[in-house]
Amino acid sequence: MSAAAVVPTVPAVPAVSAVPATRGFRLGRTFLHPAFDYLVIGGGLSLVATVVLLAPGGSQRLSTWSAPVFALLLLLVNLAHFAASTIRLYTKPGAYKELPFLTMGLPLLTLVVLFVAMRYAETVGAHLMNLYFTWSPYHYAAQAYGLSVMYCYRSGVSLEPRDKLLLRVACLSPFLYAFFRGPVAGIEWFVPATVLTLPAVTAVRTVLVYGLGGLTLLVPVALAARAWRRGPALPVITLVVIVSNAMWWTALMYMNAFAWATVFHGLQYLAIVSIFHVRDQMGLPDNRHRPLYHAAWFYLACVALAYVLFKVWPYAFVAAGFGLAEAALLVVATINIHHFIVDAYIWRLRRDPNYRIVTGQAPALSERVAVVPA
Amino acid sequence: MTGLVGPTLGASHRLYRAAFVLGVALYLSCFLLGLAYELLRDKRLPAYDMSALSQAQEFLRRGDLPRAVQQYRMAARIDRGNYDTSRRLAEMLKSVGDPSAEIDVAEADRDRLPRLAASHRALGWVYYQNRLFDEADVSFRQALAIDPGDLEAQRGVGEAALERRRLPEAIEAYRQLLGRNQADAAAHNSLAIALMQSGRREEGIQHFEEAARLDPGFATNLQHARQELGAPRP
Repeated sequence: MSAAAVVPTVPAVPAVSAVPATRGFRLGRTFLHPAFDYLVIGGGLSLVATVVLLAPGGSQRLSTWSAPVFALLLLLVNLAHFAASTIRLYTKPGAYKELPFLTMGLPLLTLVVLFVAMRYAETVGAHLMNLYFTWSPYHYAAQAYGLSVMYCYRSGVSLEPRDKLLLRVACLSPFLYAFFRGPVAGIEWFVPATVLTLPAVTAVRTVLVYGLGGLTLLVPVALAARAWRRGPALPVITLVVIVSNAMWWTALMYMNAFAWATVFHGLQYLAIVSIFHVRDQMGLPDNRHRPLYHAAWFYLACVALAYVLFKVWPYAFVAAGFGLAEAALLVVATINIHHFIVDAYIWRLRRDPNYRIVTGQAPALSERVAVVPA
Repeated sequence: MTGLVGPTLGASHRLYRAAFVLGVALYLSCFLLGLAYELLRDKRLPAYDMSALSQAQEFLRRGDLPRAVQQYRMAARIDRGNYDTSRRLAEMLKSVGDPSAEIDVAEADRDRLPRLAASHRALGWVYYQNRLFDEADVSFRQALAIDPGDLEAQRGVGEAALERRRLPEAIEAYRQLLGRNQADAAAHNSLAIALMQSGRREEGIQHFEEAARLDPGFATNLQHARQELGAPRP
């Protein structure tokens, strides 16, 4: 498909009627079906899994998954979601023209960074790994914020700057908690151990970690209380997204079950990106396929690319004389960082056809909204 | 490519296009090389469950410990937050008879993860197994300072004290351990040994009995203790 030929011609959909700023909550306007949106995109499934894990014997139940089965699940969901951002980038109408560095320059730069990291694996490679681990919770936070705001817009909720600030604090708290908590990445990457082990620094850090942990769990409650008492009436899925992310970085991390969070994060991402891809493709003038065809094509391409990137690529370095340990670890770190960068661009709403998909509104309104980062 | 970026290209677009073509060529080469390498070497496609430690585990299966250690060491140095990799490396180094390296790894882990009770506790047991009981005691106590509920560190304090014949300390440590878990047969057994060595034989027998009741594997100690109790006291 030639992106140059793509001119967004989304048929005019009746605009969402302005919803008065009432108090309380609403189901919100979902993309596919409330059950699907709440469980998969909202992260409701992960909350169910967290409850199962917290129940007596729960961690044993989930840890009985054999390693190969879990590896397959990771490939089909988490690793596929990394590939999804790349495929979305290259299939997004107008991407080459709008984002020339991202589409054409970044791949080569990524390769150069990986080659340097492989050559100096114990120094540069270790820093690349720490960059990935430090950035990762921010990426999760940004995805939660992006989805929260997206559902607000889609439900016709007008967010005041203070509402947005509260949403931002709610979504960023888990990142800050992970940043100060460490270990190794986050603050421990920037500040030497000799400083961090000073009694005063340790005391301040402990207070910060506990405080941010508490904030992570309490701000969603404050957000709900504000919506209930003063409005605007938030779509409940906004709160589900925020609470899910908070649970991933607190409860699942505490139970050494964070691998499950990566599965739910990937599932959430695959679902929303597939919806955007399908709607873009359905809006093309020469489209001859049904939505299921586009969804299946997109997902299978994601799995195939994930397999090549994560399972085949490292062996090229092994063939060149490196060990699989450094090859596999640094390929994972590099793909993650590439994914974080690409994601920060492909979800922008301002002056972007993405906005019409979110709201179903006519193109003319697309310029008035803020950026939703990812 | 021309169709991708439009007919009127500026210099920067031409540069981007060249970078893109070069990048795609390099990526394809890498993928083909990786695929060919696995197909020629193992006669199969790369496994979907391949991990960073797959090669190390393969070396271990073939008995090539030095190369397995090299892989584990590299993984531990790059992925410094992965405590499990470091722990497995330490175990492997011990199995190849390199206790100093085992201590180095455990100490490096402790330095990397100073807020993790498990890193201090693990170092404590490495010291203990290498008969460095004073160092072990310090590490176990640091683990307890971070996590007072770390029962294995509490056990370590008792064991290190027992080895150094600091019997009141050992008795106190085991009593604290039993205060948290009365059904800990090993703690009853160790407390019994400390009490017997302190000359408090009747109390010791009681704890040996409790240990044997909870775990019949400790019955031999009980028999020995009863025989000793029957013998004249020194």
